[in-house]
Amino acid sequence: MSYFLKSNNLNFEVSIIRQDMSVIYLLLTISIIVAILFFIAFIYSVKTGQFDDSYTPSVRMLFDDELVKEKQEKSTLD
Amino acid sequence: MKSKQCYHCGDSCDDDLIKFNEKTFCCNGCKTVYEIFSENDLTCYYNFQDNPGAIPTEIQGKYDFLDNKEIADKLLDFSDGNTQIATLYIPHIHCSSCIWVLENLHKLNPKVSSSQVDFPKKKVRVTYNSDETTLKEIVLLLSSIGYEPYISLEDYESGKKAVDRSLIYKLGVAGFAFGNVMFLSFPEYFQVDGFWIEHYKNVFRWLMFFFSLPVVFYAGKDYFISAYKGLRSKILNIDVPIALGISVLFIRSTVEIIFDLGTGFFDSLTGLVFFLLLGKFFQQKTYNFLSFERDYKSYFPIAVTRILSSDKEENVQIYDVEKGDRLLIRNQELIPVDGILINGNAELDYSFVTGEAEPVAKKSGDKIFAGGKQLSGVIEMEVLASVSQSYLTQLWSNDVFQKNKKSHYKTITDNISKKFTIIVLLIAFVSTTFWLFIDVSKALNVFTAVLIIACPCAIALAAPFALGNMLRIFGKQKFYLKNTTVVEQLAAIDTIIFDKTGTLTTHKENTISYDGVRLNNQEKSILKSSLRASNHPLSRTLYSTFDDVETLTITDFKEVVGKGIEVNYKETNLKLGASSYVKNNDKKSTLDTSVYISFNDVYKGKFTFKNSYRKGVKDLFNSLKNNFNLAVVSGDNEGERVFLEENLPKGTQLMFNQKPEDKLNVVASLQKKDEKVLMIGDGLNDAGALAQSDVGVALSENINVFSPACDGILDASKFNKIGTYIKASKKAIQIIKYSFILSLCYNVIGLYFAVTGQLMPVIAAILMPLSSISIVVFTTISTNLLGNKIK
Repeated sequence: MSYFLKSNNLNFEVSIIRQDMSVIYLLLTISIIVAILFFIAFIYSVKTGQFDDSYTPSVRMLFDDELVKEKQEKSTLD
Repeated sequence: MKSKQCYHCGDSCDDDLIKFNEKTFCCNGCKTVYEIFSENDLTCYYNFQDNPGAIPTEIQGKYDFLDNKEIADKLLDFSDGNTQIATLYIPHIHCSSCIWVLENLHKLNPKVSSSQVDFPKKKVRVTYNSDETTLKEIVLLLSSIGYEPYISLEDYESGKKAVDRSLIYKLGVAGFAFGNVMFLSFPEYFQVDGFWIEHYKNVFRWLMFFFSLPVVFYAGKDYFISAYKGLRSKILNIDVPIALGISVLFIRSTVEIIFDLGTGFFDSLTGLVFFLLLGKFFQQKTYNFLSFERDYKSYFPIAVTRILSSDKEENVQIYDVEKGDRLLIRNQELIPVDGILINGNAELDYSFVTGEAEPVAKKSGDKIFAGGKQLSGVIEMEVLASVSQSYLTQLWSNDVFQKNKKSHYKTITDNISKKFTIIVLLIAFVSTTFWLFIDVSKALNVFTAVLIIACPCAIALAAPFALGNMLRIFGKQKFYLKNTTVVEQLAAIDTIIFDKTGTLTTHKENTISYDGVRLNNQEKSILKSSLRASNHPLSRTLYSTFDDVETLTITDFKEVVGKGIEVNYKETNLKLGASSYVKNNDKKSTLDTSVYISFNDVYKGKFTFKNSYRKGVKDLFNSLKNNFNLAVVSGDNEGERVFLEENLPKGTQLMFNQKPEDKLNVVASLQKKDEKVLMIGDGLNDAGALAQSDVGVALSENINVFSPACDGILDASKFNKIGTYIKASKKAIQIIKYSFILSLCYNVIGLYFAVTGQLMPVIAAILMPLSSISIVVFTTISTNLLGNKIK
């Protein structure tokens, strides 16, 4: 009886480690895949020249608003 | 009356005010641009910035060469089917209004599908439908709204330049690997001595190994190449200990994980390469809108008009111009080759070549040289030599333009790395020998640990960050340097040579003095009215000096090009111009530029023009005289010698009548005496001397226009600050030396752990980033403090 209990206990411990093992592999794989995805996104953005001009987009971003405002002003005038 | 500003370009418009839509304009050109914008709902342009525009220039016929398909195709980035993309350089781009209006080009020409501005490069990329519009139409449209593109021979040659982004890729790879390796080494940092870590450590270790592979073999490969090159030419540059450190780190770590001896140092390895590349990235500050490598090509037009025998004209590419061809040169166009004037009156501005602003008059039969700009009307010329054979272009075949200055210069980092490498190797061998007697098993361990911890990451970072930051600070002060090495070279200068015309003097202002019999009011009025009718630059300048004089209506007016003008008003006959034309009795020949006048053939006197010296020249020389040898080298005659001797400190060498080659030789002979020469010039005639000198600085009134090849470009308004800038560079070198001491302290601490054989990966992983970051913080803060001082 006591022998049975002991072995059962051991089996239980081993199975915890096995489950644990699969989780750490899974987590590592996911984290590395996510990291690589971001890395590919970075390489892609450099390749398409998104880092070449870091000034103009910051100005351009503000224009769209101005244009819309101008149109609204015109429509109220009309 | 308060002077009014032009609504479009911001120039003051007192003389000819044009009112339109309750707004004032200085000229019809500006008014037209405003009209174009208001018709197309683009008046928003004036909201972002006050007076953002430029006066559109006269461009009639100038861009006809774009009809030539072969030439136009060379300017395109992309052409497929009916879509064409062209990138045009527009020097006027300067504010957010410019970006806005240029990106709304499609409102002005619906065939333009999109246009995108790259502000730092001052370029606009236009995509359009080539079936319905042409590049020429777009260029003409841009010119008509005051954004004239600058198209030069350089565009024809370079074609599509590939952008070098490899450093960003490398930085990305190293940063990516660094982050992941750090994250993977955490479990073992905390030394969980259990079953768990024993079980999984190999997974973590091998993952780290794979992450470090691209770092060593891709991101870090430049260090191996540079170290190899250094060793081959027997120089121990800073990359030698770095390459040694990287390889030892990698090999030892790999051996450790294979034989299960430890975790290895992959974290330190990737971190090291990442920080080093970060330094390189920071150092790489480029001024996209400036070019330091310009030669005549960026100044020459792409095509000229050739006259065919049957009175037809065609546009030909400039390299196709041959001896014997007849060329048509229009107003404001450049003479591309040496030749003989056949037809028309030439008034040539050679200021780009000689630095002399005075135009030179030529009549048919005279020889004319490449590089002059035609100022009055259309001329015809016969070609004597092709482009590559012309005098101006041959100037560029001189050897000084071929060799690369930077490769000869040993930087402060290279100097220290030599001693550093020798000492580190010595320590490594001594401590290994010591351990061989105490504990043989630890000997190899200690040897590699010394090489790892002594890897001079912090030393390699000090100069890039300090000098890179100085480059930025100078840039804000309108002093643009080519690269960080120039700052170091500037700090070592002991001789300064100035060009005179255009450098010490300014083209913008003239001092005019009158020498002769006093003129009465009637005579003054006639003189002023006559000047008003003349287009000669000297007349224009002289006209502006008669402020309070009334003007009369002149009808009988005759201009003899290259001689002067003759005017008859009622009974009075006025002649003004060159000495021979006016037939004066003034026998004294002078070297200055003068305009002579006579009334009714009685000589009255002369107006003498002198370039005025920049403000602060005297103070600048006085502040420099104690620390530097000073010299003035001029291509002009000795007319100004007395004035300069009186005003400049004693000991300043004055040399006149120096041709471009002579200037180069002056610099070279000083360098033979081991002097470090700073040359400050402006024109193409200084180009040789600028290239030969240790530091060549081109002074420029407008940094966007042409300047010769040089190491730095200084805005003319900051001319008197040269002394301050040199002092600041010296201080920057001091800062680098202090940070060397700081990083040596870290090395001593690290070496203690290494030599005693107790270097744990975690200590290396802490020490390396800590030392690097503290060096970066120290150099950045101290150079910023320095920058605040020179403001």
